[in-house]
Amino acid sequence: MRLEETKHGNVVVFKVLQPRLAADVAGPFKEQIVQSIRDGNRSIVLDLQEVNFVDSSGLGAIVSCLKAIAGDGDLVICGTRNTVASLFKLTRMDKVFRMFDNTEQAIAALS
Amino acid sequence: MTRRLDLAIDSNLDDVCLIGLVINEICEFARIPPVDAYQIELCVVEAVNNSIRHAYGCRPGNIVRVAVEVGEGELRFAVQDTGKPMPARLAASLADRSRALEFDESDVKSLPEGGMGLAIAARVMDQMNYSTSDGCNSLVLTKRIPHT
Repeated sequence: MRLEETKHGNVVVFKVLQPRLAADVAGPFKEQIVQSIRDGNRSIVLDLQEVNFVDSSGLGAIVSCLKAIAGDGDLVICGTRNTVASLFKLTRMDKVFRMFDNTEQAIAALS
Repeated sequence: MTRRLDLAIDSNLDDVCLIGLVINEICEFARIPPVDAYQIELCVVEAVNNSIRHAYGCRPGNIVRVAVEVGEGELRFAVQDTGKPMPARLAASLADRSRALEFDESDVKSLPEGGMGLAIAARVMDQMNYSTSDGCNSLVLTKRIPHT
């Protein structure tokens, strides 16, 4: 699972560097972000601009990360393409996650 | 004229992307808009994932087939395996699976982390039929498309 992690003040940005976030990589993806939450990071941006396919396992992993931080921080999403955004709408997860066009807007919202 | 293509992969989640990529190309060939093509690809991928996980218990060395039909006004995908059949009660209620997505979005603890694949397919596809015959399980997904 290729994830780029960068810190901007108190905000950690995880950029997914592969085009598909699907069942084959959902587990390692979740573990990496949940570990960051366990390490004390409480403001997380998930940057999906390089991602052109997410399946329900990938979405479930993102939900797991939100559950891991909920009540004691926030996880927001940015950079979703129209196709991937349609999965969030189909599953009503667009009502759950705060979604931004780019990392700058997402970081500003959490800073 | 109906055009047909048969795809097959080993029961390995690492290989499911190959099916997805071909399905997306077929949708493009059928002049389906990108968002709809993504959702159709997603449904087929979910069905293949289910075969690998639930029919074969994630054991590699088995075959998952996807028989594609590009017909006049519709696409059909028959996702087939020879593993453990889907429970009868689930197979009989496929059209109702979209209820799995009826959660309270304000209650984070209640959000589903799994079990969304068939629910998504129930929302996207026009028809889903599951059958088992001679040890072969088949989930047929049908999507109506504009005539091209």
